[in-house]
Amino acid sequence: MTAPTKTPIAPRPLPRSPETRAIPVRSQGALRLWWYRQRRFRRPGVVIPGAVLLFMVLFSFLGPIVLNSPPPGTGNLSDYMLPMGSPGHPLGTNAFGNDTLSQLMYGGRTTLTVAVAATALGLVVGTVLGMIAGYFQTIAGPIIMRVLDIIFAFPDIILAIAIAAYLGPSMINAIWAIGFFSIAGFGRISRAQSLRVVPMDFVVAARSSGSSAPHILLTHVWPNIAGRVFAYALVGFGYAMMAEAALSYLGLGVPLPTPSWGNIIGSNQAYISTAPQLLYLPAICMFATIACVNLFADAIQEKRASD
Amino acid sequence: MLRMILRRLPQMLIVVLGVSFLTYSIMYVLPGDVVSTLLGDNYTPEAAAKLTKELNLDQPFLTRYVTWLGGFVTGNGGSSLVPPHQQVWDLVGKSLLPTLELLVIAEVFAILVAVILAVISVASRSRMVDRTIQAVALASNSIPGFVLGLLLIMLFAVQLRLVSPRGWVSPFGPGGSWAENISHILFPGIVLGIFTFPVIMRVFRAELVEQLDNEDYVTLARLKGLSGTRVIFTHVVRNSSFGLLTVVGINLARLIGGAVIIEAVFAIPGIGTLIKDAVVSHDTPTALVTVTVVAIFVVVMNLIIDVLYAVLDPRVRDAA
Repeated sequence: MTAPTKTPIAPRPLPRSPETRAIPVRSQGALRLWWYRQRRFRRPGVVIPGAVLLFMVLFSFLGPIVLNSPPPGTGNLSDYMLPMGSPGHPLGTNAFGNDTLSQLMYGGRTTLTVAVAATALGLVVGTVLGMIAGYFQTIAGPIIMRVLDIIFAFPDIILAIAIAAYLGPSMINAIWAIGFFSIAGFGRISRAQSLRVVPMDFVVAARSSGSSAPHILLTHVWPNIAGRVFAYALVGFGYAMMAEAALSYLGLGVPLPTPSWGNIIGSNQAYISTAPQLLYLPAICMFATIACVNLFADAIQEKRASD
Repeated sequence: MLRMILRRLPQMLIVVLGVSFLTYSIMYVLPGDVVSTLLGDNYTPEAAAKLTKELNLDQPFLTRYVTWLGGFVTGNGGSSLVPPHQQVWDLVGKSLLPTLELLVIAEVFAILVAVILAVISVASRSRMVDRTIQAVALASNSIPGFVLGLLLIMLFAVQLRLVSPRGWVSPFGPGGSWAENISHILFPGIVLGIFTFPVIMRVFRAELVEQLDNEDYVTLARLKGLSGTRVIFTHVVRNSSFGLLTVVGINLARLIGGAVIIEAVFAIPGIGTLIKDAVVSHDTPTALVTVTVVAIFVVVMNLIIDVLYAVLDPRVRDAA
């Protein structure tokens, strides 16, 4: 007597997760391959802040061209302090009759440029110093670290105030001031990471085969620490934006005819009760940008931790 | 312990010397003629030559730095270049109280909020709660301090009229009392605390999670049948609080940087305002002494924290 044979359960098809999808090969087109490789970044945690950042950049750099708005300093005094929604001035005007929307867009240019340039300055100088400190651990390393300690013991904004006061308020000088104090952070990160990489076998091998120190640092150490350094650069970019805003607010950053998100807020502080939009609009721009940069940094670090 | 302190002293000295030297160099290259500023309408070539000699301005750079350093160590910081030419140490003394009050209130508030939120986010074991708390921390980490200050002034002082936008009332001046003083400084202190707590919270939360996941005593407590919440409150929070000490030390420079801005927003006559005004008006003696005092404060606080750490944690004590 044979038991009724059960129909074998067919294996359920695997869900179509990105991993089970056919992996494109190079012959199928570079674009598809690129799209596939970016799959892990197609998450709301990355896409939404990315989109907001892209919007802020486009708003600042292409906005004035697309909207054909007047330059920020050419307002008519008879249009002063228009409320939001006025004809021709959708976000109103300030005490000099300058269009607020235009001020925000041009201010974004200034703030973003200063923050990117200052972070780049800190990244290049700080990483070079940090890698040297991590590689030459006997003499140069401790000296560099003591110098970075000195910069670190200084509340950064005081240093920036001192440098900006010495050089005089201008956009370039704000970049120098903010870039200078961001050196210490990059130095510390890249030294810590170099200390991890330098004892590894491939560095020892390169050393014993006679490679020069600059060669080893560039071809062996840098590629292995670049990821962490760039992740920190995102955080540093947020700090740089805040520092620019703080300096401009104190009147030591970008000087007034050129708008920046910081000095728009600082120069309109007197209108806090009569025209609060002059304060909260640039504040929203700044907040959105910094928050999205931080979210982006978090998402990348999370991804790295789970890899 | 003593050995640890002794080993740290030279390092601290180097940092403090470095900071003062850096400031001295920056102020040295600042443009502007001190002598003609000081003399004003009384300017004559003879008077100028005499004052130059008095202020040691005819000496080379390094000599002047050493002279200044000697004066600083012996308690003679010189007098301010800005009328009414007060003694710098008097100025620093007057500005110390507002800044200290601000820092203490901010730090206490920040630690309280950070610990409470971190424990809630770990103990609740709810993804929603955790995410919400993280979002709040991210948000307050993304607002520049002065923007936060202005927005909160706008809300609480202008709209709701709950607090005064004026940040400082001296407890010794006419009509001033300690109650009045505290009630005014409390709001700026809390603003500074909101600005600082996310960093502390992040570290504390990470420490809590780390201890919960890896430490044997947690497993033991669990095996003995303690509930998750009990484990967190009776064991993990206490053991994680060491990490708090370190982050408070690292955060100090950032906190003081924030205080400079908050003092500017609320017009508080503290150390930050003193430094800012001194640097902007090229008042070298004041700027030098003030910045060096801040550097000494940061360095000494960090030493105290390291010592406390060693006192509390025998593993660190024995390693040192």
